[in-house]
Amino acid sequence: MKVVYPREQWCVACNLCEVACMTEHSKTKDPLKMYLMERPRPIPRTRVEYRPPLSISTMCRHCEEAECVEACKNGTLTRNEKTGRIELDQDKCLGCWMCIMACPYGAISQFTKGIGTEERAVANKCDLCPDREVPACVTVCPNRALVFEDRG
Amino acid sequence: MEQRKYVIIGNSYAGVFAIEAIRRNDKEGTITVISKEPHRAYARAAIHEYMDGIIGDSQMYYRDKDFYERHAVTTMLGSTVTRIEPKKNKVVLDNKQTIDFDRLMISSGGVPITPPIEGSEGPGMFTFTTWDDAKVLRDWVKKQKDPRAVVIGGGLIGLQCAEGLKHLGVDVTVVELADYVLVKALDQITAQRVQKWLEENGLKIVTGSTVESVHRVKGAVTGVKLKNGEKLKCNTVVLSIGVRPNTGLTEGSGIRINRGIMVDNAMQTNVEGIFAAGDVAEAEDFLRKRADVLPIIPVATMQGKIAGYNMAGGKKSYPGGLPQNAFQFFGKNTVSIGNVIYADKLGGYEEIIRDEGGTYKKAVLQDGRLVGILSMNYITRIGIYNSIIRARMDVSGIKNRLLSDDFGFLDLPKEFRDEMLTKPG
Repeated sequence: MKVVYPREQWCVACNLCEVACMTEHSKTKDPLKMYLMERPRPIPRTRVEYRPPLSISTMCRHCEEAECVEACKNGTLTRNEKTGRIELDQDKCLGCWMCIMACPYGAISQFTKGIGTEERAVANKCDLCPDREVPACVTVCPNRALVFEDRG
Repeated sequence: MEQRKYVIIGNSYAGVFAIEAIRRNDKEGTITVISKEPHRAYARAAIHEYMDGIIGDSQMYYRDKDFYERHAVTTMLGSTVTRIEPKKNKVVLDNKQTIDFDRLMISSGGVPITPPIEGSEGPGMFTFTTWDDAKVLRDWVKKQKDPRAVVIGGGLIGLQCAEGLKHLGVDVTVVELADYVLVKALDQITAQRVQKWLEENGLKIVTGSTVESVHRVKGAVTGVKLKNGEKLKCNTVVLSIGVRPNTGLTEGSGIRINRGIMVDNAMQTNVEGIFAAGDVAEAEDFLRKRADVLPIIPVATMQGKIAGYNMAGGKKSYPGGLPQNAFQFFGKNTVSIGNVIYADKLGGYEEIIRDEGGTYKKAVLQDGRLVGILSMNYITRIGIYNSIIRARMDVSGIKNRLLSDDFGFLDLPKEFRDEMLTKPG
């Protein structure tokens, strides 16, 4: 299946992947409105590490034998048998962080969903942008340091 | 080819993952799941959150309602296997009915340890390992005018139960025999901090003692007496000193038992065609290179999956279990991976500790290799350490970076990073 792969030799730590990811997962799909007005503000599902001269952007690998799915206690994380993607149901999530403990890629984050009394900490990770043909981070990357490929 | 008959005893994490693995490899065989509990698979590890009403039924089921139908599984819920007859390829149920199998998986889980305590017979005594346990306990404390509970055992289950009861407005005292709580999961420093946090949130905790007798007036629990002489007033007692592998059904079958059912790396017992997985199984421990029972979800699901593949003719090998725990009490998170307590108890380990700003992180090294990680209040990307432990990587060159909050792939050797990040996961 196709997932996003980093090519660290081309990454310049511009962080545009993170911005594109937040925008794609926002209500307005507009980076400025999203940043200034949306609460809770989306958080990036890809993460840029920067240790000059190196940098790299990594996110969920949608593993075939996904350790997050094996650790999840209530089925919040499941594998979609048709697409192969690992799906996360935030409405179901208990915030137990077994997935964060298990993911060897460090690709799952804590996210505070809702505001005020509705506030609830849930898991958050790359969903490969289900509304797009190519994930937003890949499209926006100026250097092709992120590619969307099937490496079997 | 004739249809293969798969029988699975137990309907929890190991059972569900075994069903999925079997069906990925064998669409024709019959699968029968036998479970003494009446429910379809549910989140056993979330019963404390169910008890205090944080979550409802919909968050308890971890597979769809049609899961069994889609996987063509016959369920026998509410049935107990009393005997296994390997020579006849049969299991015998409590109603004397027999079920034939070609491949059997035993994932009968654990049963609460209930030592004899004077006065423990009768109402007001509870265990806390099943969904029904949680419902019964909740209904009971809601009926009490002045609900007061003593929880015997300060392990993970006991403390989760205690927090759940506290949220229900119950006055709770936890009694732990060891010198501090969570003695099997945490080191002393972390455990004592968790304990302090629990006390700040209203739990009373007595350590270094246990309940000697339960006192009753006209049959109703009125209090307990501790070994240290102290008396505690209560109307509810929860026994949660631990669970042991539920191996009773293997008696007389010739299946080899040590603490749990002994299995090889294919998850097969000494009897060909009979497998075991989950809290009942005793399998290889990745770090210690010897067999042990490791009653945690990731181990149960992985073992169930591997057993399922192999029952259906596949060849998958168990890489060995790694202790992993993630838990929170009153909103604070703790994660531990690998061996974090042996350094406390045995010599020969090196510890690196970062203790600042409310965050406590500890790495345990053995001959320069990472074997354990423990973190309180900062768990971002903590799972990366799994890969480092599994790779038996020498981390002595990156000790200064190992516990940084922004520790990541760029701190690791390029070959390792490429291996992980440029290939399918």
